[in-house]
Parts: sequence; C-alpha cells; structure tokens
Amino acid sequence: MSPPPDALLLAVPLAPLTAMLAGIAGRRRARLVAWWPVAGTALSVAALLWLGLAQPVAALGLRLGGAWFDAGALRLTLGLRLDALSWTVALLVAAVALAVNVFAAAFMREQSERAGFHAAMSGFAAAMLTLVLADSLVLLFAAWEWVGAASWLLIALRREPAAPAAAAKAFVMTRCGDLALLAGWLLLALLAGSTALDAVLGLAARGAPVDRWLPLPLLLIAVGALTKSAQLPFSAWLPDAMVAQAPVSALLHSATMVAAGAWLLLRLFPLYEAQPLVLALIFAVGLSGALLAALVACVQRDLKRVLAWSTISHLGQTLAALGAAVPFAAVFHLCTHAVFKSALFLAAGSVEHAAGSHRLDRLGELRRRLPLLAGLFAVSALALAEVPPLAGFYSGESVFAAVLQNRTAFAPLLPVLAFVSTFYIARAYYATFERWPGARGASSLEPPRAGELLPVLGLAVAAIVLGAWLAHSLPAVLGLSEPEPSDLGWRITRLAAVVAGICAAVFRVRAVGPAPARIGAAAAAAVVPVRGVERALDRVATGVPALVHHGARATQTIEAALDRAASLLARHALRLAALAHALDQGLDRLGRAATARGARAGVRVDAIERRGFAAGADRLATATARWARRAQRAQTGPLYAYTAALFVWLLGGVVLLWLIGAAAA
Amino acid sequence: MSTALLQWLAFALFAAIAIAGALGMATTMSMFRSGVFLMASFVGVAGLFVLLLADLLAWLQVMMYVGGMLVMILFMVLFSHDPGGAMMSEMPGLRGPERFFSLGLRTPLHEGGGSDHGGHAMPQMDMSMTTPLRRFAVVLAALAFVALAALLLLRPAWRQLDAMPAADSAHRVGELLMGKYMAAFEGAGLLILLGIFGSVYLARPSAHPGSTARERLQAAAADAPVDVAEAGDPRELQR
Amino acid sequence: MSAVPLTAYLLVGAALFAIGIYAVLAQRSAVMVLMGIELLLNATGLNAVAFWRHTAAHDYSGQIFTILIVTIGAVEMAIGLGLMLLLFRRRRTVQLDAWQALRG
Repeated sequence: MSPPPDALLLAVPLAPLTAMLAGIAGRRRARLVAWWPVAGTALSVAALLWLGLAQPVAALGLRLGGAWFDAGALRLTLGLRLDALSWTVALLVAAVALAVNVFAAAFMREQSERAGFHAAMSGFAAAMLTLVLADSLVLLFAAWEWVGAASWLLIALRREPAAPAAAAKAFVMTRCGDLALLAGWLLLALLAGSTALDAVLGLAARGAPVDRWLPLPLLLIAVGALTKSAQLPFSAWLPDAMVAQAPVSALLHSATMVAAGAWLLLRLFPLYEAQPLVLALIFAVGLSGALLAALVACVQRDLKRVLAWSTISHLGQTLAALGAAVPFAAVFHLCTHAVFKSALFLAAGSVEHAAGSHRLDRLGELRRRLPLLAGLFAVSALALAEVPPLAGFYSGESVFAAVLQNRTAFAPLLPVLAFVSTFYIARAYYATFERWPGARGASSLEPPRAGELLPVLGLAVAAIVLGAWLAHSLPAVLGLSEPEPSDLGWRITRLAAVVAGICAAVFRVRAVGPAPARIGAAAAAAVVPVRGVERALDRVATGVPALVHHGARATQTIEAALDRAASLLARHALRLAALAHALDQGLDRLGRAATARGARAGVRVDAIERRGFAAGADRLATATARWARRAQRAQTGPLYAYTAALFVWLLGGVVLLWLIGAAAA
Repeated sequence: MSTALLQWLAFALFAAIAIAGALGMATTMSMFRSGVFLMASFVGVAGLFVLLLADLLAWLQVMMYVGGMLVMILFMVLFSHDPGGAMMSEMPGLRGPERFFSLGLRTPLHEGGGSDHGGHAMPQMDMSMTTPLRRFAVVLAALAFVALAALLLLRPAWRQLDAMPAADSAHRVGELLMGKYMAAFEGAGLLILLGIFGSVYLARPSAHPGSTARERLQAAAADAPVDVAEAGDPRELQR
Repeated sequence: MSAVPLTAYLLVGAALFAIGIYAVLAQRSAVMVLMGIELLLNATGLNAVAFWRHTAAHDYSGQIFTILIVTIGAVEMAIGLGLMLLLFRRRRTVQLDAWQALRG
C-alpha cells in the first residue's frame, strides 16, 4: 500500500518547509531544534527514493499543478514536475542537504542563534527542492529568489564583522543577475503564451517567427544563471560568502545554490540546443572562468577560499560541458562535484573547529592528531583531482570527452586545467595536514565530534563509489547521449597532468610552505580588476578632474610654446634682415630699405604675436570662464528652478514635435 | 428645456467649479483652504465624468480624492507654520485671485498674529507662500494653455464615434479588469504594496543624525523644565 | 449623443493642466507642489475619459487606463508624503528654499 505518487511528490519540498515552520515554532526547545532539518530532508530523500523505486526512473513523468490565472494572452501556471533529470538532481540535493544538516547538528551545538540557523537551512532545502522540481517559470523564479534570500539570511546570521557586508554583496550581486533572469523568462513566457515548462520547451519546435526572438531571452537567462553560479565576471560574491559557517558553505555555496544556475540551463537545454551562439558564449565564459579560477585558487591563503575558487572552477567546467552541447556530462559533473565539494567543505569546517583557524599558514601537521579527518579530506581531494577510480575521474573524463567531441580546438586546455586543479587541492591538503617548514601547527586541538565525522565519511564514501556507479547507470536513467570516449593518448596525458600536479604541489609546499604560487599570481591580478569595478570607477571619478587639470596645463604649455615660437620667429626675422644688410654691399639704399622693411616686419610679427596669440588665448580663456560662470548661474539651487526648466523643455518639445509633424504632413 | 441646453448648463457649472477650485488652490494664502478648494475641483471633475457617462469613475474620483485631500490637509497642518493662513493674509500687496480667495482669513483674534509663531520662525528664510518664479510661472502656465488650446483647435480631425456606453458599464469595466487587464491589475496591486512598504519604511522613527528634536524631547522628558525656545515640539509653543 | 463637443472637455483639461503647472512652479511648500501634481494627473484623467467617451465608448479600456492613473497618483502621493516627512525631520520645514545643495 504505497502512498499516491502525487502526495509523495508534494512531500519532497513540503517536508523541509514543515520542518522550517516547526523549527521556528519550537525554537525554545534547544535539543530538538537541530533535528528538524534532518527530519525534513530525510523525509524528502525517502519520498524521492520511494518514487524512484516504484517504477524505472527513466520512465518517470509525473506532473502536478495547472493553470493559476489567465491575463489576456498570457497564462500563468504553477506546478511540479518529476522526470528523470529532476529526480536525479532532486535526490542529489536532498541527500547532500541531509548530510550537511547532520553535520550542522553537531557543528552548531554550542552556538547561539542556532534555532534561526537550522530553520533557515530547512527553508533553504525546501526552496532548492522547489526550484529543481518546478514545472512553471513563475514558481522557478519565486524559488530562485527564495534561495537567494535564504543564502543572505544564512550568511548574515554569522556573528562576525564581515558577515553583513558579505551577505549584502551576495544578495545584491545575484539580485542584479536576477533582473536579467526576470526579463528573460518574461520574454519567453510571452513568446510561448504560458509559463508552463511544456509550452516554453515547445518553443524550440515552433520555427521561423519565434526563432528570431529566442536568442535574446536565452542570453538574459544565461546571464542570470552565470551570476548565480558565480562565474567570472560575476564571481566576486562567492569568496566573500565564505565568512558563513561551514555547513552553509558546504550546502549553498558548493553543491546546491551555485548549481542552480547550471540547473536552469539544463532544464531549458532543448531551447539552447538550437542557439549555437549562446552556447558558444556559455562555453567561453565557463572554460575561461574555470582556468582563471583554478589559477586564483593557487594563491589563496585561506582553506575555504581555495575551495570557493575551486567551486567556481568546477562550475565553469560544468557550464563548459553544457556549452559543448553535451548535457549528460554537465549533469554527471554536477552530481560528483556536489558530493566531493561538500565533503571537502565539511572537512574544512571540522578542521576549523579542531584547530581554530582556516588560514593555511596557521595549520599544518594535523595528520598525526586527526588521522580520520585527514584521510577523508585526502579521499575527497583525490576525487576532485580526478584520480581514478574516484568519482571526479569519471565525470572529468566525461567533460573532457564532451569538449573533445564538439569543441576540439579547446581540448588541450583541459589537461592544463587538471594540472592546476590538482596543484591547488594538493597544496591545500599538504599545507593543512602535513609538515612543512615553518608550520606552527595548531597549539590546542579539539577532537572532532562523531556527528561531524559521520556525514563527511558518508560523502567521502559516495565520492569513491559514485563515479563508477553513475557512469554505468546514468546514461540509461537520463536518456541523454554520452560523449564519445576519448582515446588512450588523451587519457594518459590527463593522468600525467594530475600526477605532475600532485608532485609539484608536494615539492613546493615541502620547500616553501603554503606561500601563494606564482603561477596563480598573474591570474589573481587579472581577476582583481574584474572584481574591483568599484575601485576602477573610483579611479575614473578622481581621474577625470585630474585629466581636466592636465588638459588645462597642457593648453597653457601649448600657449607658452606658441609664444616662444612666435618670438623666435620674430627674432629670426630680425636676424635675416641684418644678414641681408651685411651681405648687400653694392646697393646701399636697397640694402637699407630691405633691412628697414625686415625690421618693421619683425616688429609687426612680434606685435601680432603679443596681441594675437597671447592676448587672443588670454581672451579666449577669460571668455570661456565668463560664459562658464554664467552657465553656472543656471544652477540656482532650489527645486522649483529645475522643475521650471523641465516644464519649459517639455512644452518646447511638444510644440516642436507638433511643428515637425505638421510640416511633414 | 431641451437636453442639449441642460447638458451645456451642467457642463458649464461643473467646469466652473473645477477651474475655480483649481485656481483657488493655487492662489489662496491659507493652506487649509487650498486643500478644500482642490477637493472642490475634484468634485467638479467628477461631475464632468458623470456628464461623460463614466459613473464608476466619478464615484472613484470622489471617494479617492476626498480621502486623499483630507490626508494632504492633515500633513499641511502638521508641517506648516501657518496652515490657517492668518499670518500670510496679513501681508500687504495681495492682489487679484489671491486676495479674492483669501477673503475672510483675517479675523480680530489673530490681529497680533505674528507673536505666537515668531519664536521659531526661520529668520533667514522668506516667509511668503510663493516662489520667486511666480511671474514666470504665470507666463509659462498661460503659454502652456495657449499652446494646448492651439494644438486642440488646429488638430487633424479625430474619428469621433457617437456610440453610447452600455448601461452596465461598471460591470463591463470589472470584467475587463479581471480578464484582459489582469496582469495590469496585479501589477498595480503590487505597486501599491511596494508603495506602502516604501512609505512606511521612509517614515519609520529612527535615529537620524538630524533628529535632534527627538533627542531633546527625550532628554527633556528625563530632566526638569524645558526652555520654550529650545523645545522642538511645535505644539508646545502654541499654548 | 453628447451635446457638448470633445473640444470643450479638452479645453477644460488644458486649463486645469495650466493651473497645475502654475501651482507646481509657484508654490514654496512641498505639500502644495504635491497638490499641484495631483491636479496635473487629474487633468490628464479628464482628457482620457473625454477621449474615451467620444472616440471609443464601446471599449472600456479607456476607463481602466484612468483607474490606473488615479491609482498610480495615489501611490506617488503616499511616497511623496513619506519623503516630505523625512525632509521635515531634517530641517523642521518643507519649504523648498531650505534645500539648495544643487546650487553652483
């Protein structure tokens, strides 16, 4: 007697929502408060598994919901949809959320404000599941905004001076991307006549009149997705968001929220398939972002920031796979990345708890005292570094094959990327857990709790087995085509790059410790102007008056030079006359007359120079100043002066338009 | 009397009310009267709406604007030094419509009008009702009227239909609002909500650096006698 | 059948608009300026309804447009009064002369 599938589907987002409400209502019962989100997400996982076991996942096609209201030609809908793709990603999100919530229950045990934190985590899980399961653009956008608000709340709950600014930065930056997303999906809905996903995805088949308009909304939606996924140049918010607690970083900023951008593009992929230009743009942004972010990760001194830039890099790889028109590789990499990245973040949180800091130069030599944690971190790091047979190897192989198949010219960049990724993660591991010169290590070590280690263990085990299992079963489940496997030569190259990266990192850290590596310095410097737009604008703002000042000085110099040139000319004219006089010995009168004429000409030129150039330039300058002062008097100050000017302009404009219209008619 | 004559009479009456009300609002020395005149002008326009067979709009106009003008009058009384206009109307040199619409403001009770308010008048600011742009504004308004009238009278012919609106026009308007213009309706609702949020947020009591009056009041409530000239509360001064 | 022609209503609207311009420019108090703006909006509404009656009386979209004008005017008034409250808290007055920071 199984519950009806509709109820199960509704339970998936509603269970964490109920957990959030229960957490808020029961916030004074300190012992229960951490377990509501665990219960909520566990129920979601159970519901999804039940739905998946009742029938083969590939044949899933559950729809719930319908029309909300009709506004003229536009129909707004609300609904949930469960098909193979959304089932896979929803299960991933719910499972990672479950692990992170178990971790958070132990991690946050002695912090105040935990009731709000746990409630916000449940709320976030509900929002993310709604986003994945949404069948309507309205619901998707509402869930998208809700996810952004939950992210703001979770970052701002940290009692640290940098937290409110970081939270506001994350929210405002993603909000700006959301404006592009809003414009994009509104356009799509208007084109399709409805916000239901079926209608929107059907636009791809409509043909000529719609095709002309499609690239614009798809581009806008892509901009929104790129902002949410913190791709360069919109990546400034993610490293600063690392000020939040470790569970938040693990859930939001590695596995789920930043994956929402990739998810949106995956959902709308049938529309993107037919737009090669937009796909090329996504590919370019993804791959270049991946490379740059990986290089910047090499210069970070903070363990969580290394992981943040690594997230940007891996999401860039996911988007590059998408841009290479192989969505299978994108989904695969999304799944494995969620698992090993959240394991790494949770382990980093444990390290912070145990050693008191996550700055690389304050860590070191932790392996002896925290062997289990070191082992789990190492396993997850190897998964990130695409070492076989761990998860990252299979999904990295899939991404590489996708790029090799469709964008072959860029394929050689991927082994380079593998080298850099391995370098930064090996450096992070080694600097945290092994001995290097000058490593002070942590003075006092608090042993990590069982509640913290268990989820990390679970995720690390998943990172080991997930790759092979998904490579085997995912193509059949999703019904998407796999890329052609690359040949042995490429595989050996990539493996060699990985090994080289590990060796390089180990040698470097053993030699000089976790100092920022030079290979990343140029990239970090390149990213700074991309991130520091405000600083650039500042410089422009102070630079313009300076430029004007320089221009004025230059004008003065030019005027002085003209002065000197004119006087030089006069002097030379004088000299010429004297020369004529000296040379002319026969014709005295002619000579004297010529001399006299020359002298007079010289005097006249000098006078012209004095009256013309010098005085003229002076008069020009004073006249300009006078007119500028007169023009300045128009700025009288109070509001009614400007309103009057506005009305005069309006009236004049209206009359002018009418005259033009009457003349044209 | 024929209906055409009735229509013209009604039009003349309401148009006169509307224009006279607007003129009164713009020129009177009393802010309170100003609000009431604007109310009257809106009622005149509502009458014109009835003549144009848009009864729903006429009712809406009356209900919304009468309420709105009451709120305006309330704010004027709160914000201005002389809402009744007694002090202003004593100023010499009132001519024309200003004098006409300000009749009756000056009463024996307020003969020595300035002393109550002199304590906290802004010494460096001109206390008149109008800006220095007044003459320019008259000219511009006259020009605007002439330009608009010219545009009207020299226009290309509009296609005028003499269809009569249906008897249940309100019903039809409602149907349209809930159907074809649903998105605009929801959008306007959202806008009103945002406006309410915005104005409540703007008007919230907060620790402005400039709200020294508030701090003084709070300090004054804690300490003993308050110097009348220092107290920020205008109500205290009008005792 | 409307005995009063369209032009008459439009002239009344134009007169109200002109008086509104005068009020916006000639009044010193910000509250009075807001009332002038309401008058401008009202004149526009009158124009809209007059046009609706004389050119498209079968299609009620004209009335809906006027309803929206009135609504937006009310919202604008609310926010304007909120802003004036803030201004009053700073300088104890709403006379427009008190703010001359744009001078120069």
